[in-house]
Amino acid sequence: MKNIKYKLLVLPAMLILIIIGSCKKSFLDSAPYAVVADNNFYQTTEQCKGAVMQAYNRTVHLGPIYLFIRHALNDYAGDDLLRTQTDDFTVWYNFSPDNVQFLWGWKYCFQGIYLCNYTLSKLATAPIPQADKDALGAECKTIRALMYYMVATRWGKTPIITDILPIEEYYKVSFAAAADVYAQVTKDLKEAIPNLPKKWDAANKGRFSQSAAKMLLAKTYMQLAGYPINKPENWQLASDVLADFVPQSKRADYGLGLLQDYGDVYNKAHDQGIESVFEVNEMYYPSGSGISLEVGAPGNFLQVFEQPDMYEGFGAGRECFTTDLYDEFEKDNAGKIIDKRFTYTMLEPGDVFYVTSTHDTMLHNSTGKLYIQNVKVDKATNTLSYTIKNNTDKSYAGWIWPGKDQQWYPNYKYLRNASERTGYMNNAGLFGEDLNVKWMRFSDAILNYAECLNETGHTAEAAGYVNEVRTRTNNSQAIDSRRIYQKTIVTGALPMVDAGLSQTAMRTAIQHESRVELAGEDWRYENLRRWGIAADRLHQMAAKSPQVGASTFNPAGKYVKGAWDYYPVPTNEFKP
Amino acid sequence: MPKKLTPLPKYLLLVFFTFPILLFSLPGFAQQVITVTGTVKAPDSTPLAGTTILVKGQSSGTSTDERGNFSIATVKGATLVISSIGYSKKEIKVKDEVINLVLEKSDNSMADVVVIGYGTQKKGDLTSAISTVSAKKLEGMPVQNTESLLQGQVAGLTVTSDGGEPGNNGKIRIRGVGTFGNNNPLYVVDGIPVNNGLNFLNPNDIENIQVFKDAAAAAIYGNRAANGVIYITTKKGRSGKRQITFDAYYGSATNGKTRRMADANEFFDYVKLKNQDGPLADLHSKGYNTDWVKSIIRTGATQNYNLGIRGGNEDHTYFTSVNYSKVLGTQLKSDNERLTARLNSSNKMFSWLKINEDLAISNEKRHNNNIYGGARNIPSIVPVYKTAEEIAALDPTSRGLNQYFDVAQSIGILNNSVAQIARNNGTNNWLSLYGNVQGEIDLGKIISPLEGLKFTSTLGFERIDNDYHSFSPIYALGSRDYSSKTGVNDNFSKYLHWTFNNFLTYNKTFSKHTIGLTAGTVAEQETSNNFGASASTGISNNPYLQVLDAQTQDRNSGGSAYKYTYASYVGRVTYNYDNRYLLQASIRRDGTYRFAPDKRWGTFPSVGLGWRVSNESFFKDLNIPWLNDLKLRGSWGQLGNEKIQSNFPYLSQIAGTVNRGYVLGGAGGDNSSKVFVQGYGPTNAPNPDLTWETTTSTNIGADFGMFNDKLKLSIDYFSRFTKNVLYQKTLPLYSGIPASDGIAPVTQWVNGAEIKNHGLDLTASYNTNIGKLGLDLGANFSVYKARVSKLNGNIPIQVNDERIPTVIQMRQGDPLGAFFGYTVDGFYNTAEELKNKAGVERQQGAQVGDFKFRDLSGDDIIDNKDKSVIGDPNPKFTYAFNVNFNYEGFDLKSFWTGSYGNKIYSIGDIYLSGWDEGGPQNVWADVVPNSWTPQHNNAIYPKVSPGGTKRNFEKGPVTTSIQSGSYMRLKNLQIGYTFSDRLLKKTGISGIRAYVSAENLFIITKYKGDDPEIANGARLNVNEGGQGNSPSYIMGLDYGDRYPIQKTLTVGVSVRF
Repeated sequence: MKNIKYKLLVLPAMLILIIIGSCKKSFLDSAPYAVVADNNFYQTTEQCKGAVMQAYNRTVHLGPIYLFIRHALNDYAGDDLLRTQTDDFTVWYNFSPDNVQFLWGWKYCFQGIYLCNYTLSKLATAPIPQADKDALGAECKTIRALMYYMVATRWGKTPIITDILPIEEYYKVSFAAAADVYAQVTKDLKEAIPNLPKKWDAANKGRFSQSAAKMLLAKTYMQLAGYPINKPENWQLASDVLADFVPQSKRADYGLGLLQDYGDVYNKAHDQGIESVFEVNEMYYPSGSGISLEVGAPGNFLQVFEQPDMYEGFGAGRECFTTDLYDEFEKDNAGKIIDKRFTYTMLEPGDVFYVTSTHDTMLHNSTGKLYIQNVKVDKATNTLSYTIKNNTDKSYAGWIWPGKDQQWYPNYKYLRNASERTGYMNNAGLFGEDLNVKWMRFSDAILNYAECLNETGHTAEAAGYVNEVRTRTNNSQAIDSRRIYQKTIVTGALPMVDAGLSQTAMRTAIQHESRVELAGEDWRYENLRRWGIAADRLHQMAAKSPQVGASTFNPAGKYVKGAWDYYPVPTNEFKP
Repeated sequence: MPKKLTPLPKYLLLVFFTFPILLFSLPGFAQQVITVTGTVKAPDSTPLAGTTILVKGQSSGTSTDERGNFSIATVKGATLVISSIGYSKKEIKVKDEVINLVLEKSDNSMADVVVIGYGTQKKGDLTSAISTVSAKKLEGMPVQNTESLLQGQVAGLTVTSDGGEPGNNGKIRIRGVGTFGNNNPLYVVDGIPVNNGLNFLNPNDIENIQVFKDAAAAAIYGNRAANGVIYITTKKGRSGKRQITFDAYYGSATNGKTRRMADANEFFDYVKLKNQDGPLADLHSKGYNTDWVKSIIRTGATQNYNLGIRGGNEDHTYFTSVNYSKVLGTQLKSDNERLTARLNSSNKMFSWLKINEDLAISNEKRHNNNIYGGARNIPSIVPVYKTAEEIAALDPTSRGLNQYFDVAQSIGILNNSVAQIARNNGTNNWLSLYGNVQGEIDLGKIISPLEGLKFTSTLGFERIDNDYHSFSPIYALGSRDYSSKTGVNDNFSKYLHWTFNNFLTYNKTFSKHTIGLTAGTVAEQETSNNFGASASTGISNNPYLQVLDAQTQDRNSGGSAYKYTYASYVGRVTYNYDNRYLLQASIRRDGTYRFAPDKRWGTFPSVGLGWRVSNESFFKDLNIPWLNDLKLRGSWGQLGNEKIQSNFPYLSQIAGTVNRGYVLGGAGGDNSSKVFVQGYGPTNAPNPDLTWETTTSTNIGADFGMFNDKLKLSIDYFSRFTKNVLYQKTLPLYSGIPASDGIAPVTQWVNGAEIKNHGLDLTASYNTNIGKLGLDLGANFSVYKARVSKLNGNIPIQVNDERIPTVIQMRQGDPLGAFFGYTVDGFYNTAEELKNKAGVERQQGAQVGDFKFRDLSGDDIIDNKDKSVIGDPNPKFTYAFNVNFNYEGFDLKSFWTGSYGNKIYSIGDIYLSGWDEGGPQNVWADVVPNSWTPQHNNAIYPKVSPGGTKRNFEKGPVTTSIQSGSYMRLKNLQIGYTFSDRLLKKTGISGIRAYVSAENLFIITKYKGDDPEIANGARLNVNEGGQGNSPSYIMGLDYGDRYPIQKTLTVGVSVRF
């Protein structure tokens, strides 16, 4: 029994071991490995600028890379564009909370908002010069305003969040009405404008300048003035903002103006030129640049999506202009198109567009697509002769497109022929092209100004601005050198709008002008709605072009004014 | 009076971590040597094979053969020590040359020692649910990996496979799933947790595998053990005669159950319905009828050679083995080659110091590129090769590699799968080192009053080097299937995981009290870094130019690194009173680097109680002749889980990726003036409150031994209740927080749910001899039911496929991984049915011949509100049984496994049954006859139409795609013959067994797709809107593109010297 005492030694020995082990606590406390915590960042102007660039990047996601998101949120919901039969996405014209395109658009807008909120909160305490803070903060506020503008125009009610909230709070945020969202947009823009440069130097093109913020501010006022908010006092506010940079005398200050030739608008040589109020840069990365060329890196697939059908299988041909838009182009009494913008807006059946330098030429006619060779164009008579390629040559055979009864018109604005292409082709056959997205164009600012002038009783003055745009059209080249054969050669000229028109007639004239000037540039739907004519136009379009995707039922015909003014909030939000 | 302290030798520490000399040879005695022969039998006269016979005080020894016979050289007057597991040890002084003896059963049949984590215990003393699978049971099963060895062996343990690809080992679930995150058990090999699976382990090296199922058993491993522990003990040396075993087998494999694709005529029938026969008529008229799946497969082959040597004396024992295995898979260019070696030794340096070490080296080389999905997409009217004329007509300059392959660009087929395989040459190599060094100081031998107190220190490590090399050639098959560049991709990674355990154990028996105390600390660290580089545009496809140096453009490199650290304190008490009342209690405190400093530590207790009813005197008085052993057990315990795919989720983290940059400059279309400015931003929604997820598990069990242990029965009821479940809670999209790639949607790691899982495990075995016929029957059966019992805010957890939204949705009360979608109520047979009472389209986009979904909400409009849980991928029960006979030298074994009541969502069925609007995709053979037509309203598939069928499927799962995955399969059938020792006497060989074994001979199932077993291991194709990685609770998603499970036929031989 004496041994018991010693046996009790076991317990202290075990205790000692545990105490020795305790010093291991610090073992866990090493600094987070291979991770940049936010308190180590936002220390220099350069880092803060990186944070702002990340916020700008969301414009890339809404625009270039996933162009179809912006299309889905704009033109697909309008009367200009139709999905084609090759569409393998969710039915686009689908006012459903399940519509994935709506969900993506909603998501990217709010990501932009969050990144601006985050950056603004970090800028507040960043140890950098006050001037840098103000300048970068102004850009953040403009990006945030653009995102809220997108959300408010599409969904109407939305949460307004301008700060970083504790996570649980996000579930509790209430949804504000569209007018309140626009109030937030105007607040941000007014705060930003004084700290933005009037124009950026060549090295910084792509950033928001004062004119871009002002144009967005004017558009916000116009949204407040138009349907369904209908607060007409905002016309004057919009008009005043536009008066800062649209009139001839003000343009030089901001480096803005109209290009001589409408055909240059989508010409690469005029990227970030005088007509670009806000243009998102795209970039093709040469081999060895070390930047991934796959989806996700800047470099976009506009060409793939817009390309008229599956040439060599690559073109998605996912969208085309409607007959309704085709009919919008002005014609003379003989029914010949006299608007030269037509040439630079769409292809029509019978046109020959040179596709690649190494392969063959593709012809669209009303029954489908043909690969042709020995192409000859008689310029004197504008006639075409060719032989059809042997259709057993599998490399170029393709599916018959478009459908037998439809006449669809490929969007030409984002098409490049082989000699213009710089893009990279990956194994999946996708092209990353450096096609910039001209988000806000000066001719739109001019037409917006004309509209504001007309709505505030200055109809005659408005006519001058509309005619400026029409004159430029008339001064454009009738023949597009990029095409092999153009079935319709536009002749004649647009007549000038009469300064003595009634306010209503001028309104119609401006609406027409805006449609043809900006076709396929993603302003149509919000304009239609703002003008209160969405329901009428969509019903008419649906009757003319009944086909959407594989369905012969075009839901545009179901559009109900009042009920469909805004898109439904995506289901995934679990919120009203 | 205490004895004088023995001074500690100065070189103690030096010895402590030094590998000792492996083999010791001791000189024998030069005396009158005689050969003693004899037979050892059990009380019921069955021979006891494998009984160890040692000469006391010497290293020499032998063991009995299958008939219980032995023969040993010794001297008269020496003492033989005869021992066999489950029987009491006997010592006999050598007088005669023949000794026949009967060993008594040791006090109970459950005397086997089992590992209980940082210590051992007699099996009879267990209070928790631990199952043991011994090597003997697994002998002669020609399997390449440990996971397949375990399949069906233990009630409550399921192994699911996501394909039969060489080197693919499947995943193990113990008692179903209990959490949204990590559901993998913890693997422990010889006391050291291993984090990278068991691929390195040669199954022949396994002595036994124990499965810790309940918390009381696993709690001692705390951290990462919430899903149970698989504890593997490798073979160790034994004192006595050295044993040499040599095993070899060779087998050939063919694919098991696979679903057939349409042949050329069946496909053309389908194309006609799509109105696309015109463009294809030309191709069809050429009469090709290619079975694309057949064109990518071959007969597989398996070979395996294993040499094991074990031996030693009382102080030093060793085990060493070498194994080589090579598997050629049934798909072209899929193989796995592995060479492993193991060195285990145990050395008693002093009476008070023992040093053990284990070292395993494994080198594995693998090619894999599962292309079943691709091959299935190609219609059979497309040929594999160009015709001779077509090849001759090719422009010589455009001829690249494999130019003889055809491509079917005309119908939108961009890749020829056979050509793809021919080009593919990615090689993975792993070199792994696993090992541990253990020093054990018996303090009682130094200070005698401390008898029973031992200090053990173990350093274990896991070191893996991986390299991957691939080369992509220049080739040209068509204007779309070509590459004008070569490419090389090299990746290297190294991984080190070390574990340092320091333990004091104290075991002592005071009259009827047996007490065991264990206390210690565990520290662990994992570090890893990897580096990858790629480049393209080499000069040619020459094999000697397939290196980075020879590539001149597109040079890219990248890498990553991580470090994890854990620390723990462990304590345990075991107590046994008179072999009747048993108690075990443990506590473990775990710390992890993963959570915020004030949230790092979790404490996890457990307690277990047992009652050996059959050892009570009253039980003996009851005199129940058929029941000889009865134990009741109950346990309760808690375990923690912190394993999530996020490091430092409590910190707000910043990153810059390509999805975050913006391009400036570019005026006048001048690309050279464009500058990519890297953007940086937050990547996560940090949660500083994040802490341990806790599983509380209760187990009530009983063990029965009947008819003198011929029939054994164990039954366990369990419940697992997991609180603070870690998962990625979906945040509203309008919160706007982007994930790490800058694009994906927003989630936050939270402790936000509760999951309840309960069930039953049953195990029974029956062993008997009827004359010379030996019979061994075994069966196990298990049931579990896992439900989400609470979700914070009841925000459903959703999982999306890339083309189908919310494949899985769970709200409170739903089963884990439940499929969520529409119920099909027949078809829309007429245009009138498409409209509802209000005259509005009832089901958006539906056409005649489409599925008619049930209107659950009653509003006469089909929308999201009409979705419900339509399938539970969890089985109602799983089972396995074996029927083994032996007669004379012959043995016949059969082993069956099965699952009942699990549902499979066959996504592959959907995509290949007419989904596409555009170019005709391939279809299953049975699609056209089973599709809706006006005459065939009772169809399975919707109408095949030019517009495709996707509108029927793309809104979510539908009931017709959800099928029963129940099956029963003959996993193994084996016939063996053991050559009688008479034949072998003079050869020095003590046993030869030759066998023929068939794996996966057949399966009984109603499942229409491929093998339902592989459909259970799920992968998910996700896209934006889905969760980043496939959560581990996902089961039963069949994309129809898995590598099939193989039927193999193997011949093998085992030789013992």
